[in-house]
Amino acid sequence: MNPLFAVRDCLRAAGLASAAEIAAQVQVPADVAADMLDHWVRRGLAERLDPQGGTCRSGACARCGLCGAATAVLYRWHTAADATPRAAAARAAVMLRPVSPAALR
Amino acid sequence: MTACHADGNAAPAAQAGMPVIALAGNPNSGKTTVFNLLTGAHQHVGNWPGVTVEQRRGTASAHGRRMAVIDLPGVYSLLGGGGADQGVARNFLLDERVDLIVNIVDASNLERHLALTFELLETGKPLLLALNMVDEAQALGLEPQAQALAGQLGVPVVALVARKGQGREALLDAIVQALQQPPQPQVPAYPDAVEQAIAAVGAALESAQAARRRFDALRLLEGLVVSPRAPVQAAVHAAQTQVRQHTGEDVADLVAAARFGWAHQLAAIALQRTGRMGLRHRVTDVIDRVVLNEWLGVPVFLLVLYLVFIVSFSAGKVFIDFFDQASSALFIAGLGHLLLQAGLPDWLVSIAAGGVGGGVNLVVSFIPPIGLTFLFLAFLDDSGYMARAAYAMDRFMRRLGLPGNALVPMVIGFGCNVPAIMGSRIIEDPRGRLLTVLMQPFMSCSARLTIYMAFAVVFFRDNGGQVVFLLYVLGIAVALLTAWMLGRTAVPGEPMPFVMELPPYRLPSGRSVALQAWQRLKVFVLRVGKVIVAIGVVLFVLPGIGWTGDGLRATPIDQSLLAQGSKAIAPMFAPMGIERDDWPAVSALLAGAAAKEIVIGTLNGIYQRQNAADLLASYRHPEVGDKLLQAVQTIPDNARAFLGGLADPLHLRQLQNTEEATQASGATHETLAGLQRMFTPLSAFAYLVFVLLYVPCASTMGALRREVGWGWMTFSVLYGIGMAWAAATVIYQVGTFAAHPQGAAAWIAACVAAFALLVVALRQYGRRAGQRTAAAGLESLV
Repeated sequence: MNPLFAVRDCLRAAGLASAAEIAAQVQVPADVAADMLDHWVRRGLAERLDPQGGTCRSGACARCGLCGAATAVLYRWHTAADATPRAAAARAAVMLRPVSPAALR
Repeated sequence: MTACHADGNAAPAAQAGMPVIALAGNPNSGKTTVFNLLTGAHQHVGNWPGVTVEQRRGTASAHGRRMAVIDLPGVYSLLGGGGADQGVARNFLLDERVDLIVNIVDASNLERHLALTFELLETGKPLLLALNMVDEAQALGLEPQAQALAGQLGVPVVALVARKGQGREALLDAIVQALQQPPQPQVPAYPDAVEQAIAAVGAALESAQAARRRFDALRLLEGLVVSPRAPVQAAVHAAQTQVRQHTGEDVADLVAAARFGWAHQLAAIALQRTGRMGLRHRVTDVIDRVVLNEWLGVPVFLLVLYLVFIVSFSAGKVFIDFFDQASSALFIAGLGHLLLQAGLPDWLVSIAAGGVGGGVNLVVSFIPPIGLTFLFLAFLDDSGYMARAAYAMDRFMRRLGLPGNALVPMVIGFGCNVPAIMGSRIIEDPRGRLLTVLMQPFMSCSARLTIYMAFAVVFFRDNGGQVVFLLYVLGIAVALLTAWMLGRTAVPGEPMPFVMELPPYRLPSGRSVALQAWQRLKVFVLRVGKVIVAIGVVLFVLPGIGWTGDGLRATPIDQSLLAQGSKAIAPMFAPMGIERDDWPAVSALLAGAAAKEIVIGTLNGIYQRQNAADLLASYRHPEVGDKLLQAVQTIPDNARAFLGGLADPLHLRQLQNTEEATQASGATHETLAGLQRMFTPLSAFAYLVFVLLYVPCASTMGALRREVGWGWMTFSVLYGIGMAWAAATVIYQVGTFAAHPQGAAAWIAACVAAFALLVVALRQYGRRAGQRTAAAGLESLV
């Protein structure tokens, strides 16, 4: 099976997983698994859960500058209620933002 | 082999007519190192992506043939994404004349880098693959098979360790050979349905170049861009629909799948597993066996944390007096003198030099120990250890029956509690999330570090590191106790398992660590400094008014409103060692509820004002030069003491001569001297424990309210105040037990009884409300 689709099936079955966990199951390097997971994020079928909840660049936290430590990025597969593939594909053009590989490590 | 020569900045005009070699690859694949190797230039290289942000030109010569070498910024995909720098590389590769692309790939990360190779082959331009960093692949137990790869790709493949200059001659040979006889690459293909779709959309496009047309078609099909021309967009929709009907998958997924699948297959052929684990792997394995050990993990983490604070404080102490005295000379005496000379009135000079200058002086004094702490934490973070520390603590938590990941945001909480509370959103289970959120306010944030440092300088100068470490550990312990207690009473339930990713160990680069620490220090100094200076000014003015028989009037500070209010509630703090006359400490605690930085700012403002008259005299005769000289002289003296301390790590010598050690503490600053007058070491420690545990700052309260609602926020705040008061009281009463055993025993018993009552009440709440109700406030977040 193509590894990209294997990653999709794996995340869909797990619901929530880290890139390392998916990588171990699909037998690809963790960085590559993260790239593949980001493909599904760009396609609007999955989402990345930032350990800081994506809040570090706003409000009081913007002044802190002390985060960025130990937590893993997690990925969650969207359920049918979250998004239809068609709607996701329509969103992809505006959603596409490359994710820095440094952020995936 | 002929040598190449350096001509790193040759103008493009001078290169006209020369064959053009473009160096392309993912960021951090070593392109600039190869560029330097080929051209002899000395461009800056770094071990992180994005060092090259614009193209650079140079010339190289081999076998008597000169060629223009272009170093392009790293790019992940020719289809799009990334900043303007990636656009530079993409446009050059697709639109400019390129006689040979040298695709540089990281052999230790081959599968990922080959995804770009797929796209480069699609351009149809002559290509040569440089397999860089083969030593790193070998260290991972992978042996790159350059010949096998060349056979599959149909292009020359050269193995390199560019960093060490290995493979340079072979690469130059291969380049010259490829220029003479362009290689015939095996262009990878998409499934038939996708190829037909590309052809259909490409036909509707007007791009002149075939490569550009193909990539534009792919971008449209993948939905990365939308064409403004209706016929093109119609062709795209038709092609997308057709592919979906034929294959059941979207074309965007099939295109990406083809690239990933191709890279996956090729990497499997090109890398042979030797089974010999490289040194780095072995080192990782050995270290992990200790730091992730079931029993050793937590003690090792505590030991590491202990060493960080000990070394930061001890080494920082060498420079503390210099920073303190020099900044005092410049910002208080010097500034005051200048302003007096300028003819400003005394009261304004007092505010500016005492309030603002005093605040700056105080912040500057803490730069050495705090800067060193940040430096060590950045080092640990970069090395990959911090993730393991969180992992070790996670497992410890699970053993206690607590949510495994509740301490994952812990490291973030050391910086600021707010992102730590936000970080709990990664937890799916509402019960685990609630417990995690309620633990975070007890983590010692960087604002609290200023208060610890100020007190440590005055009262614990010889074991300040240990005291700070103890406070950090106490915070963790109270957080654990809180989660453990709530998990068994108010929100009972089973913890859910959690997965966590461990990054590889790296030897952190000095530059990256210094940069990270500097960023944190800068943010810290600016943020804390602003608050301390502002509050210093306010509190320089505020204590000047008070309620008298004639109404509100200007009064001496001891009769001011601030003093009157603080004195009124001071008896509540008496059991933890704060007397009525120590009202500035109470004022600081009240103000500190808004932000912990304010605690020291408040003390600063009050003490500076109390000594305003003395300070005015010093402004008239500032003696800045003498003071600076004295400040410099403290460095060798303190350094000798520090080195002596290395030979006597337990400070046994100083224990024999406590008096001398106390005198040597030399708190020159008014605020520090004021602290010394007001506290004993025991009451100072109790005060610090109160500061650690009581009301988190206003921002943290806001975050709590957002995450768990008003009810749990109120509980968290009241519980924090109660714990702070009880812990500080117990510490002070235990320390002074011999002096008044009956009174102390009564206070301690009262605290224990109150805690027991709280546990019973929470248990009742848990039984009555049940887990579902307890977590109801979180349902909307699931």
